[in-house]
Amino acid sequence: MGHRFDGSVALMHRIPEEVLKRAQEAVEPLLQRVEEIAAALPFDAEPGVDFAAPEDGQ
Amino acid sequence: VIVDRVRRALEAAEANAHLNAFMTLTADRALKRAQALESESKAGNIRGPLHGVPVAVKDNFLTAGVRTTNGSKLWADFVPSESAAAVELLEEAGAVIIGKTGMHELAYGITSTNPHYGAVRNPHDTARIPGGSSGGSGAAVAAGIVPIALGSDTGGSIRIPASFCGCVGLKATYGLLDRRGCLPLGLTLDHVGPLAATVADAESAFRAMGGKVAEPSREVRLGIPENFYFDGVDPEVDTAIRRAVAACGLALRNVPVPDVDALNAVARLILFSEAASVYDRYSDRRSDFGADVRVLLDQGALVPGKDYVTAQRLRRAFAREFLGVFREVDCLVTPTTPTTAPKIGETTIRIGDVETDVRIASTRMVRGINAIGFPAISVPCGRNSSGLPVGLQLVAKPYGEAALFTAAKAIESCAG
Repeated sequence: MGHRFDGSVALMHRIPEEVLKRAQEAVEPLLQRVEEIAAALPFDAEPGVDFAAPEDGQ
Repeated sequence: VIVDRVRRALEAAEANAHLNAFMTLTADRALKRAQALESESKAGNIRGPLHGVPVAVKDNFLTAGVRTTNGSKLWADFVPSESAAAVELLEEAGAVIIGKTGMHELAYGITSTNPHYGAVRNPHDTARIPGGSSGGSGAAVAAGIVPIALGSDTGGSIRIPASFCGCVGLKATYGLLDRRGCLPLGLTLDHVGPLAATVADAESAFRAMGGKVAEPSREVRLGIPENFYFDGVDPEVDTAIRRAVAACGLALRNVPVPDVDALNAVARLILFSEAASVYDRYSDRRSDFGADVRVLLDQGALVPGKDYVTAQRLRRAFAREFLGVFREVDCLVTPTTPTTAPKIGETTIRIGDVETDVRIASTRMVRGINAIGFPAISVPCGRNSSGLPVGLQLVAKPYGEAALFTAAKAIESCAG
């Protein structure tokens, strides 16, 4: 996972290097968790919520 | 009568200045408008249930000619030229805006302890937070200043202050209420809605803002989750919820719910990424952000695009899974927050033997519902032994607001 971020990302987002490292350590468990959850996702799963508005209000 | 009522609200706001609930009071405008509405009344023109009702507006809604800070230094002197759709609709319905309420910076947090404008305080105990991010709106309603205040909810920001302050808070079905002119945070998670003294007030505001729902076709059935929602809950909160549910007279059954812990992770990742996108244009003004918000924006900037899309695909799957719950029940009952209001400055809170981060704990029951977009309401259901309010959350299927109102009124009437 550590390969995801480098100095260019820090530059791009204007985040000081040491701050970037802390942010990276904080966000990495969440990214890993979502990757784990996504293992069960169907291959053709579509994004976003899409409610059909009810015609009768129900 | 209307002028007197608005004047009393303004006086109450001044008398409760120690709560720091208001960023701006619009006394002159409000009194002029009250006079105009009173003239309309005398001519026999009553616009509806909100005619002449004093209302407060969270400071992330644009208000024409009135400063709108978004709780941020970035907008410290911003005076918009037009109002948000929700504000326009409330005013068309006869509401009188008396001021703008304090909030967590950028609506990105749950304490409303704002580093630029000070901490908003809970009327039930001023050493405690009102919740957030719509903390000033919750405090203004709970202090009796206004019966209705406008809020926004991206990860619980209406329902959490409703729970901690002991008022009603509604997050309608995603997209049902127009959020134009409400400054964005989570682009696909943001909802607008009312905080209110009663369920009837919340319903009036909801309808004034364009909410239309049919009445439920049968008696409302409540579902008590068998998993997740009653784990890690303060025992006094648990007791108050179960007591209110048992007393409300509606049909009950136990139901299993999907993996809400996983859904919360998905919702957090989406918010991280969307908020970072919204505020990327201000990335050269790091010192203008409070420390807690800056940390979240930094983390959001590090979410890869593929992970954001994956999270968006997961939320759809979760929404479908959650729909299954509502084949057997009309409303799911949960605590809104696992505890009552924490103290200002507390970053962790003890629940049983476990010390938990205040933000993670306070959003635990509410955040995921933003990701699936289902409607939810928080209604007071009693107090703990320290006199602090306990909030009960009801969740319904999309466009199930009528069932929410019916169930919330039943809870409200039995919880006193």
